[in-house]
Amino acid sequence: MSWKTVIALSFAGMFATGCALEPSDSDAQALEELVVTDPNFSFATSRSVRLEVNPSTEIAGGHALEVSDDEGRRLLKGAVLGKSVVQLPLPTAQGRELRIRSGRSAAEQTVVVDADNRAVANF
Amino acid sequence: MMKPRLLLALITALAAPASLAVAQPIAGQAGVDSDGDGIDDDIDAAPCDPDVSLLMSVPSNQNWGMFLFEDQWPSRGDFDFNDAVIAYQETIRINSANQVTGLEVNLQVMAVGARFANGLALRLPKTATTSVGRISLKVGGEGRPVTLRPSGFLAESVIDLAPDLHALFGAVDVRDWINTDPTQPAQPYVAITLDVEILPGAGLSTADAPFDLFIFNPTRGTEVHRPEFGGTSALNGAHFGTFDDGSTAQRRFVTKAGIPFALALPEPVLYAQEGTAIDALYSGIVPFGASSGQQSTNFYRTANPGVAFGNLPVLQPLPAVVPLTSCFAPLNGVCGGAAGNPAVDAPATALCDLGAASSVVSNNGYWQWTCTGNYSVGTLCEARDLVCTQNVSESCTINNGTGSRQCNGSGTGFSACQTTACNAGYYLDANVCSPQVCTPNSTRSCTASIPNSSAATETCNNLGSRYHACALSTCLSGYQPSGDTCVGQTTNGFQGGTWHVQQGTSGQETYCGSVSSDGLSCYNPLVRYDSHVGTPRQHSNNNVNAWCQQLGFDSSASVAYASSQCTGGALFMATNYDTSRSSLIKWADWQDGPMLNGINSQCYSGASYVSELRCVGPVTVTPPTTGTGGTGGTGGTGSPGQFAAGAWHPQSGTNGQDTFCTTVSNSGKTCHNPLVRYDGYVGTPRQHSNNNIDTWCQQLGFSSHASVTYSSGQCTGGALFMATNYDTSRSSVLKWADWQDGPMLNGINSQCYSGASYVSQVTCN
Repeated sequence: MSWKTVIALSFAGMFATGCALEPSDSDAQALEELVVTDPNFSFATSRSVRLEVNPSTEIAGGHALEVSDDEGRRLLKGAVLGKSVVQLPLPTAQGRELRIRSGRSAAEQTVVVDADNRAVANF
Repeated sequence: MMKPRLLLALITALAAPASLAVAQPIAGQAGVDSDGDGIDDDIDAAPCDPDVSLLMSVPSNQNWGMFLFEDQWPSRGDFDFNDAVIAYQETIRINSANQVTGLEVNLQVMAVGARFANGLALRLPKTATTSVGRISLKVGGEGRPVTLRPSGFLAESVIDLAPDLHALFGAVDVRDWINTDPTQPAQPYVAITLDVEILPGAGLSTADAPFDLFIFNPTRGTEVHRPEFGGTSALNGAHFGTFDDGSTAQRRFVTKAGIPFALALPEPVLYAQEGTAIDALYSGIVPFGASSGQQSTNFYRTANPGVAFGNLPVLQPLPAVVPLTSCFAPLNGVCGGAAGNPAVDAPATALCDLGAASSVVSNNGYWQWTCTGNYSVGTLCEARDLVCTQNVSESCTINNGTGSRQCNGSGTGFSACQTTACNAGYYLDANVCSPQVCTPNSTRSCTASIPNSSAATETCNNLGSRYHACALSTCLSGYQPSGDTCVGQTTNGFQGGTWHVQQGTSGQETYCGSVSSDGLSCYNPLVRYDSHVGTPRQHSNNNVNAWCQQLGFDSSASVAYASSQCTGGALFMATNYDTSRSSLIKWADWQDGPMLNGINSQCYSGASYVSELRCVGPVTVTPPTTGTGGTGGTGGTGSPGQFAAGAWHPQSGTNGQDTFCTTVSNSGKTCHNPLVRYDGYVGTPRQHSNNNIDTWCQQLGFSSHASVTYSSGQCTGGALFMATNYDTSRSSVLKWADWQDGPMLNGINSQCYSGASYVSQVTCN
């Protein structure tokens, strides 16, 4: 099955201007796209992160989502169905990185988002 | 539409016994959606709950955050931010449609350094009360009733968690500082757990988490929220802008320096000792406030520990959620047999027929627990919480004793405690154990108001609660007990020429013209009352039995009348005259009644007067200590074959030995306390094998003896025994002899030996 999902990160009160992770075109991988849309994002000043799940096609069985901070403490775990927006609260000076895992099993993708540089790595 | 797999699971569950243990797992894998929410079990955060597929933890699933409140708003006060120190962790439940469906708030109230009685509440922004479903609140692990109220300004909900934070610790005084004063003992934290069901479609946004936990003080009309929140309608808005408050439209509950009165921090932090301002602990909070929270955002990680209360708090992590590897078709818990079965103790078995049982708690007279199937919402089960087992008795406490009480038929209470026994030294009276006033059945001397008594005793009753009435024991000399009175003791019976007191009459006396030898008959009696003398005349009122008793006898034996003798005037017996002196029946004037006003009657010609009054004993004769009998004396005058009190009875054949009876009974056949004299020598017969009582009786004019008794009490002169070989110059017959040397006629050489047995009475036929 060929499908494409976009996950976009934006931050409360900010404009979404881009900084996207390149999606995979491989049907076998069928990965989601993570997008950080806030050029001024700072963990120190933002209270919440807006996680947008934008599957390009309908995915049967849901879309897995897990977010942890840089100390491995889980903030979010589970799945959503279809296009979804999740507001993730970020208390002041929460850890300096977020680890976002999306997808399932072999199709899982992990993205580390740095406070200043946003999506800095694509595992 | 329900998925075929889910339908299959439900059918399986319905067909199977109501037990989770036998159901087959059907979930936990990709491609399987047990709860039918569209999310496969392997990525579903709650594969068995159709209302949950995503869990959000704030600040995270592994650590606690902390709220620090300063309750002096709008004043800075001591600005120590320890008026309420509360750790928090929130878990938000989200369904597959990305809607918030539930919220679990775990709090640990760590410190209360307030002088105000502050309450604690949670506001759910943008969530109307109509969007709130089931609410469960536990404080210290125990369920509490929930108050859900609108916030007032907006259609938002406020849930009261604690009306008084001090009270959570059992403190009764707001001056009690809890875990802020290092000189005071540390108190354990108090857990508050809140679980709220949010109906899908409510406006609650996860972006507002942690949600608006705030303190409030109804008395002051104050609330303290974080800067992004505006308070509820219970807040007196007039406080804004007063004192040290520097609130703006964007940031409320902040000082003029921009420092919030409520801090929400994402990890455990130090907090200040009582009275230490927050900026002394965290100097970085000053630029943090001045920049409206844009700078120095990590201020809480650089502390001056010397002013902190204790060390960094160590908070136990919440139990980890064990990932489900299997679940079942949605099944509610089913109550077990314990439900509906009233019990005194918390039921421990048969709690659930289906599902896992929670702990059992007592709530408003009911035992309550939940049975949770594979839905997160448990089924509430309950049974009456009985005070006691119906109709069963148990011991209870009674002052100074033991008691018993019975549980009523409904098990809701006991009957009054009934005393069953009293402790030693107490007695039971009207269900009360009272101190005994005397030892049960013991006796003690007392003073009886009985004329002529010398000693009396009173006996404690068998309870020990009181003494019986003082009872006569002995009488003064010359009187003897008769029932409860002392009556005059007749000495030597009637005596001629003597006025005999009539006891109880206060002065009436009887005179005998002559008396019988046994002292029992009084011939031609006269009666006087003071100086007024009269003669008893025959009358139907006369009670000669009472007359004899007044004269010290037991009763009357007979009375005889004759018409010849009368002195002073005629008398008859009556009770209703001279009552000022005595109300007893006694002699009265035949003419007008009273004697004390003089004898007004006459000696009526032909009238019958008492010629002989004969009474029945006791007649007690003072035992003689010397004798004058025998050939050297006048000899006994007693009649043969008839004992008479006070008379010496000759013993025939002894040539002068006589027997004396102190008292006589049995129609003159029984002689009490006999003495024997031989000439002038008096002794007392003592028990001896030589004694021949038949011979003695025969010497006294009887045929034989019927009985003889001995006692150790009475002895006069010395001991005697019967023998033939003494005093033979006078007589050689068997007779009484000196116990010491034999002859009596040389004097009594024996003694009254202590403990020896003497003849106390002899009865002859």
